[in-house]
Amino acid sequence: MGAVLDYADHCQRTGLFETRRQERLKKKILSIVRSSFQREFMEHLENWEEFDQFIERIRTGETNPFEAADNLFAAYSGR
Amino acid sequence: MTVLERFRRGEIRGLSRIVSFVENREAGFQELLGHLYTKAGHSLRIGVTGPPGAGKSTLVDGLAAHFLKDGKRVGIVAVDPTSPFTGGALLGDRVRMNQMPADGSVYFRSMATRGATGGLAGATDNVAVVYDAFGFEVTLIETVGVGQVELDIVDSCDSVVVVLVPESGDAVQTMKAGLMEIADIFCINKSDRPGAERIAADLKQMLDTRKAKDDDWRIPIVSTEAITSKNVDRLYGRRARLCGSLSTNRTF
Repeated sequence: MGAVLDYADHCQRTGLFETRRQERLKKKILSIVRSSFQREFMEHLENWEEFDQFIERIRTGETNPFEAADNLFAAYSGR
Repeated sequence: MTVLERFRRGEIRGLSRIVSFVENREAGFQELLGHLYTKAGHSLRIGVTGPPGAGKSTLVDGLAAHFLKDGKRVGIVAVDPTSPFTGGALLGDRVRMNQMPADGSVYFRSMATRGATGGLAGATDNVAVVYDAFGFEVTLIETVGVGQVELDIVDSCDSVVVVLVPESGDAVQTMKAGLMEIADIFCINKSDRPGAERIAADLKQMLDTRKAKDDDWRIPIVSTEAITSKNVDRLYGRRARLCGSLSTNRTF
């Protein structure tokens, strides 16, 4: 019984290597997009005056963190 | 001569600088990686994971020795997300590098979180791309399999070896869902210890009762004693297979 090389052989024979590498690239691209988007959104948030207003409204019970986050995202994305 | 030119010429010093550049995410690292991606895609990535003290490092060294003997160039990444206060990964570097040939056929780099927040899986993947572009036919990624970050890391490999020891019985029960999902090969290391046969039997039973993720591959359970190299050749695979098929494949 072999293991590492046998499995490599199996993956090449069945095309599993290609499938895994395609999945890996897909995840990589999505990860880069996620990082870029997150960075841009957070920069936007840090310079946004309404952010502090939302915190105050949560503190006074007018809204909650989930609703505030939805509103902040909607305002950012223009929806 | 620039660092990139040294890298392209196959100089280990150039490789080392590029790995640090990418690992530290210095300005321009994405452009460099983007360039290296066009040269990559040929290296076989093997993840080796398991609980602390399972003997993963010794097994990785053993596997690397077999690949080297078969004429393959090997890059090793050891991910050690332990406390930055122990310095364990860095010490391990020095010990292991002393035992490896200095002819450029193998290169070792350990990565620790060192207080960094997140991104370890991505950084490991990036270093693997650098190795690939450098021309290493095999990349071995060693990680302590105790958390999501480590699972993410091995998820980016072509194949995954999960290393357990006879004392891992309870761990198997608690981690079996995750282990079963990621393992392509199980290795019971330190198999001279009491309980080795039992854990192998437990694993076999679990494997028999679950639906296989790949119908054509029966996950093997290989018992080894890495410290004496016993059965590491069985974990590696049959030489005849390497000569018969893998050596003619352009991706490996």
